[in-house]
Amino acid sequence: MVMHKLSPKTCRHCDTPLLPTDLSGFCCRGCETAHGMITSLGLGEYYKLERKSEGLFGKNTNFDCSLFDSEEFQQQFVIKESSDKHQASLYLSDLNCYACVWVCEKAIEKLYPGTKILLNLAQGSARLTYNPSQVQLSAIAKVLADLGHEPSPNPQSEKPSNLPTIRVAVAFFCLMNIMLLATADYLSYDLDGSMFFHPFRFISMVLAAVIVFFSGFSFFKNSWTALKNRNIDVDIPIALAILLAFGLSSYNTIKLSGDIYFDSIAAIVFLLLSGRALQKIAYDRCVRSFLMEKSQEVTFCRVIDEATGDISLLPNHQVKANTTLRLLPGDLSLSRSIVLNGQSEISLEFINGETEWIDVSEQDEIPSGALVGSKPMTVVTQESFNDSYLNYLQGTADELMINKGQLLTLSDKMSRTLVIGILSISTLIFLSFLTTDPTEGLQRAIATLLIACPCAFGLGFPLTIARAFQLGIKDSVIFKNQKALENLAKVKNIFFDKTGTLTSAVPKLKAGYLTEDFKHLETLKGLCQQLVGYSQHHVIKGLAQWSDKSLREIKVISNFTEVFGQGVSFDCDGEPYRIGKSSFCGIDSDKFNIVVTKRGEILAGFTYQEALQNGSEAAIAKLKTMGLSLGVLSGDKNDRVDLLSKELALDTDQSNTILGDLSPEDKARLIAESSASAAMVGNGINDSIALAKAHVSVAVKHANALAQKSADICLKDESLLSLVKAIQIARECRKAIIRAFSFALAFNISGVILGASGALSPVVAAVLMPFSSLTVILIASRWRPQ
Amino acid sequence: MIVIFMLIGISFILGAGALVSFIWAAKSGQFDDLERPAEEILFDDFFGRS
Repeated sequence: MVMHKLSPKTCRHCDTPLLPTDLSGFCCRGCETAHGMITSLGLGEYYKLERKSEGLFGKNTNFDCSLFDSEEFQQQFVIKESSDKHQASLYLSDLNCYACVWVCEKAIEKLYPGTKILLNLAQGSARLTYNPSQVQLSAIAKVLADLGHEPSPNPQSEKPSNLPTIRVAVAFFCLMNIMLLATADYLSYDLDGSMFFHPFRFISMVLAAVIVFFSGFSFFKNSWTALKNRNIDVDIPIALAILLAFGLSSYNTIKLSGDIYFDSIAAIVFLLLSGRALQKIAYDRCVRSFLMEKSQEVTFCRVIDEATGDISLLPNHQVKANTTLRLLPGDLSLSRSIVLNGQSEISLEFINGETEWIDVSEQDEIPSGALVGSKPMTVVTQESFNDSYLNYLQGTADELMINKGQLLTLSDKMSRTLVIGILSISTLIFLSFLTTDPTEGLQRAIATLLIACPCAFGLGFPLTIARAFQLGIKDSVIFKNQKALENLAKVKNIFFDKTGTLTSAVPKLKAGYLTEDFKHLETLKGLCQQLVGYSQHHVIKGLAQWSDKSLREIKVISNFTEVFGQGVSFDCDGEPYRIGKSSFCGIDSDKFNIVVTKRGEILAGFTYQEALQNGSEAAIAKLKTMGLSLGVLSGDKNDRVDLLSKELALDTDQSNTILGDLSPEDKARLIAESSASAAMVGNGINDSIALAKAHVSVAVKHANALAQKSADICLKDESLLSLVKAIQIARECRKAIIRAFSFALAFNISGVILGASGALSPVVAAVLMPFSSLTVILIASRWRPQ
Repeated sequence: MIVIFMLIGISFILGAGALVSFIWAAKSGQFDDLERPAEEILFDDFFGRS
């Protein structure tokens, strides 16, 4: 028997805890007035919104900061400048406006004088300088979490280098000056013979040398790495063209005759570099929101020293058999263990997709990967982490991810084709002149390399991808890389996991029976909500969800008692109530999972019912109209999977694969067998191999950390409608890439033909080149999904 | 026509000046956070200059 002393009552406006004697429901006059004003204006929805978002002040009492003091954990993000000066790089959640920045900075500086914290609003990150002998990092982390901004490590602890930006700036400076010097050429004014001719060419050469060897350094570096690894990279022809063109132009400058291409070289380098810089910005944003969203990966666990009872943190892979571990609510059990101490519930949701909570107490065995419910437990491991099921799944998923990284994407293929095409045409031109005039041949070959300006790659692709990343973030979709985006566009089959993906992870309680004479339904609902303050048991939480109306009346609850695995009893308005299993409440019927009784009489009965995730129905219907074939792969029992597929009208088409009772390996096998372009949507550890194996994979919101890691795309919205958006973005992005590519190709081919036949004067060419780049930019950055 | 060389020299110096100031701005962190200063200015009166 456990007695709860915690006061459940909080201010109805601001959630500040109230004194037990305070029955008004508000902490102060101000809150009462504000509440009255908000509700009288019909804006009561506000309180729902507020309770939904977990990022409000003082709500994060469950945030576990102890990890921040662990030496191994700190290695990821703390730089030790000296023994009394450490620098930590953190991401902070929900950093929305300057007010958040202000309150965090001032609070930390007031509480811990000598500690400096600088927040970056655009990145949602913080740079913290502190003295470890004066203040522990966990204390600072706790303050930040209490303020509503949960810190998480920012592994890029080095300040990002400015060098790429400076390289673009220098390229722009050189390009502008070279073009200024080439103005006469563009206007068909022949300088040859004038006093300006050679000085201008020499100045251009110096500027071009800066652009090639300083700004364009990354092209040479990338080509060299690719050649060393025997890969074909887009940078190889670029580096080759730049180097050859620069070499030839410099040679001609020094020997005082012949053509020069310094302006073309400068323009290509500048365009390519700025395109890449823009893509990098959009990509960084995506990765950042992924890192912030991702639940803390379970890499550490709490080990209890048997002799002293002290708790220390240990990396998972060091956990051996017969280790005593402390598991907190929300933790996953690492390996098969026996409960030594404590009573709680476990859910196998992530392991096999079953949603029931199972009560466990001393001497019960819990499997690897079980989710711990409302109370902490002490367990003894029966096997080392390396032998556990969790580690096996993790290892398999990682291995598959590495293999998947070698697949080619659309833009890879296009780049390769064009790279090989341009190189072979140039070589052919050179070879055809080899016997007659090798110098002329080399000049024409280089001219072709330059005219076939790869602005489709340099600007078109990066900008299209960058736009897709941005559109994704706006619609709560995080594409983890370019491949995910391109593969999603080609998907024909989508397989869903059931529990937590199509259905909500927590089964809803359905009211099956309410006594005729129960006049106070509202009171019961209010009561259920209030009980959450006393117990975090999943039944109580479920009841609170059932009563989705906001609190009407505050009742005085006394003598609250919770009997583990049975239910709760309490007095309200002088009447004894019981909520729990039928036997506990003294009701002789097993019709309901949970009953509510007052003075031994049944008031209401509830049964568990699997609830569809919000938007599942609409999303499935929409996906069908998009010509996709859908399937369900679940670890849950067959009859429940069938029931669900009927509900979602997935069984109308015979070709749909709808299967239950699957092991993680079965899921992966079915995905691999189905077709080359299958997508997997899931949330659990049991989906992780299938997610890693699938052509493209999607992890839904609240997915397990391993599933999020294995997936290519993460959804930040609970509703599957964001998946529909993701597919629309991906398809439209693919179209935009093809449009930009075809335009650039058509433009370049006609350019080469016209240029070769002499029909194109230099000034027209000089006007048309930027025009073509501009068109590619417009195509790449203006598209939107229907 | 020697004036052309002077003009080229001047344009070069002006351009280099802009480049150097850009590099200085980037190195001193002016482009690190493009959102904070925009909002910070609105809070000056409210919180007092810090």
